[in-house]
Amino acid sequence: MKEGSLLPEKAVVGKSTIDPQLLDSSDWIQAKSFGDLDTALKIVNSTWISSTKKEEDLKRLFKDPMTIIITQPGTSGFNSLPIALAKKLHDEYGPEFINGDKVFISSHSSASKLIPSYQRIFEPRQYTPKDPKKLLNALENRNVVIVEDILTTGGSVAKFQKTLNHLGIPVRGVVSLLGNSRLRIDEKTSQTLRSALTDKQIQIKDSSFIEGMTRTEAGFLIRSLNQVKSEKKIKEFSDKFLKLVDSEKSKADKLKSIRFDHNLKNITTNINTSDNTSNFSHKELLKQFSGQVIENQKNKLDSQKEKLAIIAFQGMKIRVEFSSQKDRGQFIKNSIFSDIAKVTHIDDALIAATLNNTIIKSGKDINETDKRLSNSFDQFKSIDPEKHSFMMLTKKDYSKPVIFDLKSHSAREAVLKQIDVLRIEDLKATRLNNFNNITIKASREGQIVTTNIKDALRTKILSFQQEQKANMSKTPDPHQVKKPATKKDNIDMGLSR
Amino acid sequence: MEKYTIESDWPDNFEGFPVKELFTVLKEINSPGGTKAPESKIIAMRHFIHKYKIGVHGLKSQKGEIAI
Repeated sequence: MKEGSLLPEKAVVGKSTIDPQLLDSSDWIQAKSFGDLDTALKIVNSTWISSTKKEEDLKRLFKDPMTIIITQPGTSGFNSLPIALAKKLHDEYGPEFINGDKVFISSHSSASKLIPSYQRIFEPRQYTPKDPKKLLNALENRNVVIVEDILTTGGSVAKFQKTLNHLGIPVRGVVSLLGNSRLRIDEKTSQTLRSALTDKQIQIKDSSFIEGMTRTEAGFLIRSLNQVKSEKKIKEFSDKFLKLVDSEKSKADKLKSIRFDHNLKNITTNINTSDNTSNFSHKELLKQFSGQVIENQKNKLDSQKEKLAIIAFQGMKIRVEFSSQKDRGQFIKNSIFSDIAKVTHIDDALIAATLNNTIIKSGKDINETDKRLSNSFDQFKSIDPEKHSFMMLTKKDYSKPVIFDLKSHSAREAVLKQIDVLRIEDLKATRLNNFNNITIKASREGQIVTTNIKDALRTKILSFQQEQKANMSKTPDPHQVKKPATKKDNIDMGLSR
Repeated sequence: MEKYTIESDWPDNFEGFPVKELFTVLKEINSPGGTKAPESKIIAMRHFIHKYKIGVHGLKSQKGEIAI
């Protein structure tokens, strides 16, 4: 895993012992539950115990000017302690900070402090960015340090770190006023947990769930597992645990998809065909961008007066501004019919099809009715994946990949006999819009190929970027359209995390 | 300091829920046992306290704080 994608091993903590008297004091309650910042500042200054080691750790943490603090979003909406600590760190070490409560929405049903420590793992925290675009723009190329008031199990910080990580924001450190500094699960605890799970015959497919836990959370889980003896209790525990793992996975997918959308927007490119300096022709543009129009519907083209079109090309959204409506119409007409005919590789087909989310519904025979993204997605969502059979079909040259809903398995089998197909083996309807993790088993010339959309996209985008970089250093092509003003050189799709 | 006082200039309803009920949700979240309210209601409550700058959302921006 990349640095910054793991939970930091240790937090810098102002005071490791948690004094129950302090937590019961009226000042603490005023700061923690009533949002009294002045009192919070007073508590932070009187509680934080300085040491040379801590100062060195903090100096190291904040040495990079790109480091920024985000305070841990709370559940109560009234906790000013993390903000007070962030302010202290800013005054002493200089990093800017963001009030996490202002930029993240937490949708928990109960405040952590009211849940017994051993149960907290089953009440996971959930954070959703309020305005993903603004947040991701503000944090582009920044390293984040999370600031919290108290680390008991560290679970909330771990979940917030994961949230940021799935959004592609690296977390370099955690600073807390009080609590246990040991965060990341160590190898020994991880092994013990795995053994405890195996003993109870609980198998989890995705080991990243365990890697993302804190050491204390894992300890509580091991103890709980050891207490579960009867078959019935084991079954209950197993169901609860696996449900939790699944729900974490689905939250992660949602966040990754926010990130992916943001990156797609970031690499949107502008091409102005009315620029006299570019020797533009539709043919050449098509040659260069053998993508398809993704934000227009064919039947609406003639009535639209804009001179813009958005085309998809190898995972990029490209915005093309035409000199006239006629030019645009001509281009769109051509690109729809040429569509992705230039696809020469299986990955291109998958990417193009996935971006397009093209669905063709068929009855007994394949009667193509192209339903484009804007209206087909809802239809697709409403289809029960258990009762239908989906597959992706292409022509023999792998052009025109489309997703078919063949209504019945027998219809699907009948088609399979006749056509060289890309078969979707693992596609759930609800996951279509969240295609990062879809693995497709595809048949190509008799050979079975397994392609992961995420990897395919990443490879394609990175190779395209490299190609673009190389092209930029060469003499401009006579057919070159206006050079895109784009951030694509800087983007890190981060899809590997 | 009273946390859950409803101000007269706030709307009666917000995102389809009575503001009174949103405050009940906030109260329940901060009480043992938590709330049984659906997620949509919890989120509406969050949006409300963001919008009307309640609790830490209403804190004045501090030196070094970046507003997004």
